[in-house]
Amino acid sequence: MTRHVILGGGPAGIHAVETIRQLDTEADVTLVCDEAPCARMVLPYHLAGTIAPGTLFTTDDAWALEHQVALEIGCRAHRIDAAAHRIELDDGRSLDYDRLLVATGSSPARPPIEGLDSPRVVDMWTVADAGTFLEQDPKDVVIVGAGFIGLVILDALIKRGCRVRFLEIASVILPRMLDANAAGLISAHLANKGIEILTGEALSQIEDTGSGCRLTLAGGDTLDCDLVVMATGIHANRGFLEGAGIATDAGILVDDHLRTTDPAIFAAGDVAEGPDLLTGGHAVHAIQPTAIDHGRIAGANMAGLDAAYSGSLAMNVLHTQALESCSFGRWSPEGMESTGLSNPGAGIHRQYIWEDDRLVGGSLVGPTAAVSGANDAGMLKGLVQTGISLGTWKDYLKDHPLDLRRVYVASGAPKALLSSNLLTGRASTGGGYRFPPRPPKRPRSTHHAVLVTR
Amino acid sequence: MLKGWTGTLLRVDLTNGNIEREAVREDWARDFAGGRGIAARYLSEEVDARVDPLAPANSIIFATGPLTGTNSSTGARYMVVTKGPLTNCMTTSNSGGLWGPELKFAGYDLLILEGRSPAPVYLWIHDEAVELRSAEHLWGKGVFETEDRVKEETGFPDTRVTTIGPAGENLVKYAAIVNDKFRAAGRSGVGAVMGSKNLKAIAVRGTGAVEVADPAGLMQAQWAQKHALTQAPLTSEGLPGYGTLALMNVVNEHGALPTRNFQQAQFEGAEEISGERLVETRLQTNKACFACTIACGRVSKVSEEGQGRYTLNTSPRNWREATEGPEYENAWSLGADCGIDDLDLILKANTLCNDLGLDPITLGATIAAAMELYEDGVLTDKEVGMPLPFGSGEALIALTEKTASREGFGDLLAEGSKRMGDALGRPDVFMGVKGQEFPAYDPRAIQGMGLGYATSNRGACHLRAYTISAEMLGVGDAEGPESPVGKGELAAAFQNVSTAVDATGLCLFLTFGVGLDEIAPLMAAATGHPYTPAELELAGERIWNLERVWNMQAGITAADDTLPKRMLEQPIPAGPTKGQTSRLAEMLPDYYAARGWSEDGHPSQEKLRALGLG
Amino acid sequence: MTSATRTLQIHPDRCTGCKQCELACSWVQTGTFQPSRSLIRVHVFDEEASFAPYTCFQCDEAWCMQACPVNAIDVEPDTQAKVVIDDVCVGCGLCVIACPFGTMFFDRGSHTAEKCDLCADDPACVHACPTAAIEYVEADPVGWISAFGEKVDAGRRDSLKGEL
Repeated sequence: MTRHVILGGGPAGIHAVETIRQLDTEADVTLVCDEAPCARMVLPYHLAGTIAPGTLFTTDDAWALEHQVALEIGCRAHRIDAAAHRIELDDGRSLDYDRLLVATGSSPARPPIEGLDSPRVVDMWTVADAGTFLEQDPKDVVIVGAGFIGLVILDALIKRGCRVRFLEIASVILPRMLDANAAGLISAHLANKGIEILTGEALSQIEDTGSGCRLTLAGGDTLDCDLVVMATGIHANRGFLEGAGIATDAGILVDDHLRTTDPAIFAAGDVAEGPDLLTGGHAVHAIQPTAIDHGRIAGANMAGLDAAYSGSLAMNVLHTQALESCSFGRWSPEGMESTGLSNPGAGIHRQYIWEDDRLVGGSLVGPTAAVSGANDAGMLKGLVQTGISLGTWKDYLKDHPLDLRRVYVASGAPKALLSSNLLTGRASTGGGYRFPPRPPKRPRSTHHAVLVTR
Repeated sequence: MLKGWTGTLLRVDLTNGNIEREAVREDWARDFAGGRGIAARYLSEEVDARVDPLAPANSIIFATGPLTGTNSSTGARYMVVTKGPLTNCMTTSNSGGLWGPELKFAGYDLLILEGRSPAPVYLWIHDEAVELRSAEHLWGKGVFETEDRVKEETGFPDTRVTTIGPAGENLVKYAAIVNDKFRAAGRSGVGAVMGSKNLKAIAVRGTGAVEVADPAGLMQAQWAQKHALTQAPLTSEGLPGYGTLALMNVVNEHGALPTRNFQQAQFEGAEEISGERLVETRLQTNKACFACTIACGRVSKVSEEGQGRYTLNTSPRNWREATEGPEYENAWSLGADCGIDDLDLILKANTLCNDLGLDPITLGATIAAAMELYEDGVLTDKEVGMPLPFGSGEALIALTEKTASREGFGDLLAEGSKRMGDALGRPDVFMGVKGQEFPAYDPRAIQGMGLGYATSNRGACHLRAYTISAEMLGVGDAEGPESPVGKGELAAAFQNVSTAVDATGLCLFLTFGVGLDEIAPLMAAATGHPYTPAELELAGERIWNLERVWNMQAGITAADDTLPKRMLEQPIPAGPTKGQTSRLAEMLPDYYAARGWSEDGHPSQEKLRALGLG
Repeated sequence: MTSATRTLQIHPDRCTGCKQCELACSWVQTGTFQPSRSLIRVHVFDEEASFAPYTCFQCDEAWCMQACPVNAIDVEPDTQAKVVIDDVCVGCGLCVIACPFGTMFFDRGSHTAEKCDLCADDPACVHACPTAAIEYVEADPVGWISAFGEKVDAGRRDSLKGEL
């Protein structure tokens, strides 16, 4: 009986557990994580108060029972003895494994600034962070860092009635999701909504004034607010690997089976530097879809399947005050050929980034009806994901940047996508982690009966 | 507010750029049923009937009906209502496609456009966000390019655009407004009114909803309506199979196909330009307007033999040589009326009309009149700039372009055949009523159509009283087409019903399969007002009388309810209808009586009071 | 895809572009007519003189379901349709960008994801289509879209022949 130990209860870890269990009902599976497994993507909605608290968590005892998983919650890996196939936990216990998955995720990276230890300075990474925020119920918030992590909570804070200001050291926002034009369009939109974004401003110090925070900028200006959210980036949680003899770069290097340089150890999610779909090289894509792919591929291989991964694709979607944006693959056209259309006045942006006649990136910005209310966002993803050669359709898309649908249908991408699965030849099944228990069947709307009655 | 309606109208003062939302008057909505009616009501309230149609004081109204945007079959229509420069009457010009429903989804029943913009603009409506944008860069561009460019500027693949072409900019008296590239509010020069206001286009993206009062009732009524359409031969076979072009052979065989400016009533080349021929050699697919289960639209290509000879270089970008059309009326005006039997050439001319924004009926008829003048020696190569005999396709194409740009002889053609005939001392070549040219049915051969033409509020028009349905096509009961008996009542009844259908937002072609009995339940369920067939017909009559009163204020009299001498005095020279003339004098008194109007064509005070107009 | 599963088969050559399917679908979602909320969209292929209603293929991989951080998407056992459980969905939008077919949508009103659920085995669009261009039958979903894609592609190559 194979002993599997999974370190980390984020999406990568949970999907690995479920995949292992689907393939091997006998194996021994242990999941180690320091807080109850939760869905980080849900934190903004938790802040906004629009969801039930239970939705935050992705496992419970019933799940553990159903999947026959030993849950070790509240502890962390301390050290790996790779030679002995043993993991030492920070509470002094140790676990032996045949296969180990490192899915320990990432943590906020804070800049070296004075005053960050105040309780009025919070990250927005864990349920506990959100709790700290909610307890203080601030009305005036400065978010340090105008990247994805900072902007993804904007709508929630506005909904709570907060005044929100951003402080960004770079000259543009969202530098790892959109190019400067598209980002500028979002900045302008937010400025119109009265949301201040101070770009090109370095923070030198935060002072807890007893009733709030005072931020001092490098130029000497100050900002007063109730609470500061730090959103300046993340780093991989891999300190405990020192001395384990596993190769790392920006993250833990894994091959196309998500295996590290130690054949018994796999890595997945934010901590892993896996195959990059577009470049053929390696990359850390610290996003939920990559974590899930990694977890499933790693789990499958740990359970003895031979599942190769073609690589992860960077993608993001953001809703900011009724303006939507999304990007796939390459987001910067620098040094690349790019086409599309941009109409900043109308809040519209479409960008296609090319390598020869293949799309290697693209982004859309606009109201819902132009982004997630249309087929186009997903079709763009499909074209980048399949990397299909577009031949003369490239010129067509250049001339008709809005007519992506025709290019998509003609490209053969739907056929390619319908014929492929992440885990070769295996249809996805539903019924993974979720609360509350799912209804057996989605009922038809009452309008349906009105329509079909003749 | 009644359901089915959004309850909001958008008022744009182009002179100063003011954009305002207003509640639609519910009493008018109820009494005038919808688009054509309520727009006429607003126009009559707000615009002096004596206004110069091309002056800023004229308004142009775009109006949908309560069923526009619902799933009632053919719920696609919008109506453009303004004072038309071709007719100097209130004109009501209707179009399908996708634009009208989009306006509803954006949240508006009507647009009222006033004044004149100091510079070319287009209106961009994205739900609540409405703005005027510069159209300097679009001025002079054709319809196809304008639509593509405006769409791109709005950033939505699903933006719908209605626009004028160069013809509207150049105030051609019969310039059209074209939406979705091939659907047009075609007649009476509504495009020139838009052009006179420096308004190039109206782009709409609507993401909202159309709500109905009685969901179960509406669903029941629309299934019944759609079922009826599948049972009637014209709406289940004729129109889907052959489009409106199905009529070409039928009308020709009857001896009612006006040929060479109404000098004959049968065309030897009719077969060549018929719906059957189009299907055999050129049809690619049929195409529906929004929510239409009939789908009479034609997507066609120039035939193999025509390739090269008639390259459709004016086709929309990337349609490869495909184009839409032609409709029966256009194949007639650009074909039989000009003595042309080449369907490829007609396709090309028709496509040009769409791109340049011209009404093909008046264009073809005006060129046909010029051809007659050329053959009579009144016009020479020198004036025209080219030979202009009947049958000349080259001239048709060249003059279509020149008309839109008002270049050379095109400047006179751009005035329509009435003004052209007057200018050349030959008023007898004008084949029309109230300044507007006839469509494709000889009024001598089909008496009811003649009466309908003569009494139409927007000048000669087949869509105001399509009595041929009952006289010839077997839809309803009437005396045969040669008889004047009962045609007064028939025409009045057709006018009332057609007007009501126009108001609902449905398409008149529906009436080949269903009547107000099927439409009233749709209106009742959609709006929540218990419309009966009789109440709808009354609304049609109310609208008709309102239009008439306004037209009389504009200077129209009973003397204008007439037909050209050729129709009244010159018998059809040959064919099955040989010897027939229009017996208008016998029918007109019946008509006025049926309408409750005085002998000189004035709506009586009792009638107006009974209709709530007095 | 199990062989007994029915899928929506599209016949682009029969479609007239009338959008009755969009009206029916939006009706099922909202009880109003609101094509922007339809989960089936009629695409217009001018050059091909064709139209094609387009909606979720209920693909085996179910990228949307896999991407969901809260498992708000599940497989409906009878139909194999992937369905959104509305009260679980938080509205993060990940499924919209994970779906490589473009058939996941986001509803501005409810702030939840929306997708075709085959109307619990009785698709309204099929009822509404006047020309039987949408059929709900046992068939491989790849069939129609591959054939149609090839037709569109071949058409363009044909039309460019002269220019190349």
